[in-house]
Amino acid sequence: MLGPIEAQQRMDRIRAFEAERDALRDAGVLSLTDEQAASVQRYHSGLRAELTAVHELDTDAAERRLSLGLRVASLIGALSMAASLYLLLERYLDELPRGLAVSLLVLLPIATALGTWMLQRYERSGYIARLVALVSFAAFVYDLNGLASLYGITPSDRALLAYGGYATLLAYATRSTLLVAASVLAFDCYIAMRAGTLGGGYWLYFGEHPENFFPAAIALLALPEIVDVRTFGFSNHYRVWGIMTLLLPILVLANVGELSYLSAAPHAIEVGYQIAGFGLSALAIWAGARRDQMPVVNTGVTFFVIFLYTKFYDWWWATLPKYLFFLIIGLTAVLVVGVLRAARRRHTRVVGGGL
Amino acid sequence: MNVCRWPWPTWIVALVLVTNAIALGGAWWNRMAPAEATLVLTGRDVEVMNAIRDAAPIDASRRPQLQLSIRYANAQYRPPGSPSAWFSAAHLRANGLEVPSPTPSHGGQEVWHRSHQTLLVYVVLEHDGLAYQDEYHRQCETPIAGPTKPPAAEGRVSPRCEQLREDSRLYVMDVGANRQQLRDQYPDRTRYAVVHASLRIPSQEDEWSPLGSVHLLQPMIAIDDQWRSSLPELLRQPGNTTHLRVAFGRSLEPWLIALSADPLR
Repeated sequence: MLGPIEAQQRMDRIRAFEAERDALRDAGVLSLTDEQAASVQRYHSGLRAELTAVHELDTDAAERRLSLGLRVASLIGALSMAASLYLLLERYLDELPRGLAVSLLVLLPIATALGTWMLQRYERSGYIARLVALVSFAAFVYDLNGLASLYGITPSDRALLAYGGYATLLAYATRSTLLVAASVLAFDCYIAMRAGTLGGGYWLYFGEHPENFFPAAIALLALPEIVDVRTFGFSNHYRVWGIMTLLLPILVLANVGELSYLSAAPHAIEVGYQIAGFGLSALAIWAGARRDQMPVVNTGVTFFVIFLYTKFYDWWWATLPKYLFFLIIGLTAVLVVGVLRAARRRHTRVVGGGL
Repeated sequence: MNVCRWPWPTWIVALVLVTNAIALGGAWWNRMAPAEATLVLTGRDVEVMNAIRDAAPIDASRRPQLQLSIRYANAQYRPPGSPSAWFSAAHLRANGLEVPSPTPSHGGQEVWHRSHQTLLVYVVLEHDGLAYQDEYHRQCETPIAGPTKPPAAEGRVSPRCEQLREDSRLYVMDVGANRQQLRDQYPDRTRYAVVHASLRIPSQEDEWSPLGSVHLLQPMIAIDDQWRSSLPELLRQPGNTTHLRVAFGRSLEPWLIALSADPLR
């Protein structure tokens, strides 16, 4: 059984095949016999019926555009409803009798998770189920925060483990990229906090040393290489989050060397991290292009450009006329476009030669 | 029985029940007798807050929350039996904290260069005791005999002295890595509470705060249902004369165990 993303990809391939087959027939290059055409038609009709019986799929470009609008609307709805539930509980929980308040806190995430499960059975598109899943996640986050508030429990970084686990379960159950992001952020922060405490510090101040995020970045980048990504999915999401978790702290350290654990002079630390930033961004572009992972390439390019422009600002903002500064920025962008086009031509030749 | 084939809500329900059981079990453990310390505070030793800070009135909870209001003992204050000031490298090290070597002198106060170090520590909160007397003596320039005795000086007093009469008498006056060691040094459980805190070692840049900063990990006082109805009215009394008995449990988390307009015994 294909998941919704894989089913949509298959549907897109069928549509592309039919368009190309018609074009080849009109050009007189390829002509299927009636028997062959009928056989392919029968197979694709059956496959379409099978896929659309399980998932709500876009069958043409107009439906695809409408789906994009649906995704945006459901994202706004999900975030708003999650915020509404959180603030409602924050406003009234304190005024309920203790037993009722605790029962409500425990039951809300369970009820909304069961609601998500029920909705999945009746709503093939999954939009409403994903919306309710995000509300369920907000209810769980408030559950632990509410208990801490009612009983004066000391905040603990271990709550992030529970949040991460809950978001992961819901993300894979509903194929929600937003919940994947919540899960990654929760585990990212937990690992960074644990890394921060190794030096004897208190976990809440983990952000004071950006290097605390490096173990989390390594774990995220290693994850899609270790587990069977075709079974679990979201592999490119993990790669992109891994690159961001690695390069954002490097970007901060490249500008504020004082935040580093290293005992060298701040300027030397900044220069070291600037070099590392350029090198690792370029490595991400190269690895992404080599393995045909476009989200990885795009993330690498974005960071490379940010590192480059940050250096330009340091070097020239105060010393060059502004028109010249922006001219250099513009020319650099043209240069990047040229390099990327050359890389694309080379990639096309390699792929073409391999066929 | 293959647990991997269970529907995913089973795992969600299990996760919710386990995490809630851990949280509620922790709260129950904290309140098991005997309490680590029990202090009788007054309205001036706590801050009244709403659940949603800075919220519009329509969004703010009508039930107040209470937070311990702490002050720091003077930088030169020496805890009983200690040869050095309470926030000196020598004293912190003697109490088991690994702190970097400070810069020798900076206006008479030790400072650390580029430390940005934050440690998980235990702090001693003293209520209406030696640290408060010491501060009162410094600000009002008049020795006083007892911790709660009104100032003996006649006539005008300085604004800082006037302010001190209204400020909290709950002072952070010692820091250490070992809870039992601190409790042995301060055995009076009705005047001293040992609580969890984070301690930020000051750096040269922190001239506004040469003592660094101490943040209690749980400054909020849990309030049970039985006190909720009477609390708002008592807190409105003039002069902050409401008396609160606050217990600190096994996990050092505070909760309200008695509330009265009259002095508690």
